[in-house]
Amino acid sequence: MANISYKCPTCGAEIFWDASAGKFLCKYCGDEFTMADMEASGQAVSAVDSQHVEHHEEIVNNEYTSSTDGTVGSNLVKYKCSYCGSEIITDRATAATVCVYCGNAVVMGEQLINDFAPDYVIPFKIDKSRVMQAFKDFSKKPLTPKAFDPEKVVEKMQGVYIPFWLYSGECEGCMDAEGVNEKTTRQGNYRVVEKSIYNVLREGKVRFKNVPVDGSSKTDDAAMDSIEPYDYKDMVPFKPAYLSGFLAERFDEDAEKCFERAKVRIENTTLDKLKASAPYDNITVRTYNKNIKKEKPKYALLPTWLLYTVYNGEKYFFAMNGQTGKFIGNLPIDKGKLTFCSILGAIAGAFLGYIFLG
Amino acid sequence: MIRKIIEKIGFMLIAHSLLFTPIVAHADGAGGVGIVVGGAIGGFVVGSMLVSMSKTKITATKAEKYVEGELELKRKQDQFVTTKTEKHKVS
Repeated sequence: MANISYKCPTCGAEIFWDASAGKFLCKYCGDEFTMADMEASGQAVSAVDSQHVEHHEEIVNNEYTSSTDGTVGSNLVKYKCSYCGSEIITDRATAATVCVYCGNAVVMGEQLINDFAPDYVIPFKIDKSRVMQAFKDFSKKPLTPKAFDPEKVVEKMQGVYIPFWLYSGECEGCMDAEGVNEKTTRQGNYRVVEKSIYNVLREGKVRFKNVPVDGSSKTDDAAMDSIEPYDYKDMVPFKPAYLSGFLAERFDEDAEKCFERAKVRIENTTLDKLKASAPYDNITVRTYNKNIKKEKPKYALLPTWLLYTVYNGEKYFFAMNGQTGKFIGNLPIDKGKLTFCSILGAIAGAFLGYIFLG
Repeated sequence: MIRKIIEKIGFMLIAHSLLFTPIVAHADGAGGVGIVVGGAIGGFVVGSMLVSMSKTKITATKAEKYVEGELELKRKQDQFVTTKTEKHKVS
């Protein structure tokens, strides 16, 4: 059996998941279909038949050095498009792509079965047409160079389902700290600060649910952290049909390895909660013991738009949460504007300084 | 290489004047301390604020959005140790 793709039940053309409509949309006859409609038409939208998936072919003798579908990565493999028979050269971790020759949506079944079978997915809610507008709005920052035109700098824009591990559990923490309460009074020409010092002990536990960490080595970790949070109310049990028309990756960093990033976040937040329970003006932690009891992590594919841009020979990467529309990235900075604005700030600061201290 | 050295020298000069001009002015009893200090702080704050608006990619270090329920305290102890008093002359 070939890789998974979907056909319009009315006209038989290739059919894709439409993010804004939340349905399958046939671009040829205009008909729309729900997931139930597609299932009723006998198409395997709900599950991958693990007995009949097509496996990749290895690339030999450096036959190809770059992917044909625009995926990032150097560990390439070969698939065959189920529609036109062309070769699809893609990264080994790709789970869904689009054939560059015929536009057919291809879902790689072998990347979605057994250990790689996702538990959940949040379907795309934002379609491509809204991404460019969001990028234009995002780039309107005071220090953005005038010549930075969003229409011209975008080299590649991809809707990608990124693999995420979701960690739940509880963190038990015990904090030993010094708490200080300060009281300031005025005695003649003296300011008197009275510091009451306490030994503070707090022990407690905090429950966490679905702390996300991306399981892709190719994706910028900070960028994925920055597009959080995802709204889990839209998270549904995984169905391969949601991937049609988008790129998707399977994880290449396992749950144990990725947990280190979640652990730091969970421990820091538990400490914050313990500190907040101690009402002191200053608190200095002497020791902090912690222990996380985690449940079996969930594996989910979460929607992300990735934008690769080039400006003045420099590469800039932007990402957008495909569900909430949150846009992140580091824009280029116009040094002239920065200098001018800083001088204005300095003049305002000097004026205030003259009034209050001069 | 030369550009980097010039940049470093430039930053050192700026840092030097930002730090020492107010101190020298203060020691001389000049009235411009507020202007110099206010100017330096104003320029720095506005510059940093605008740069942070252009840079939104940050590594997450907390998980407060994923906390379910409240902190469940098991042990709570606050033991008074001592009181310290500091006196500062107000100029």
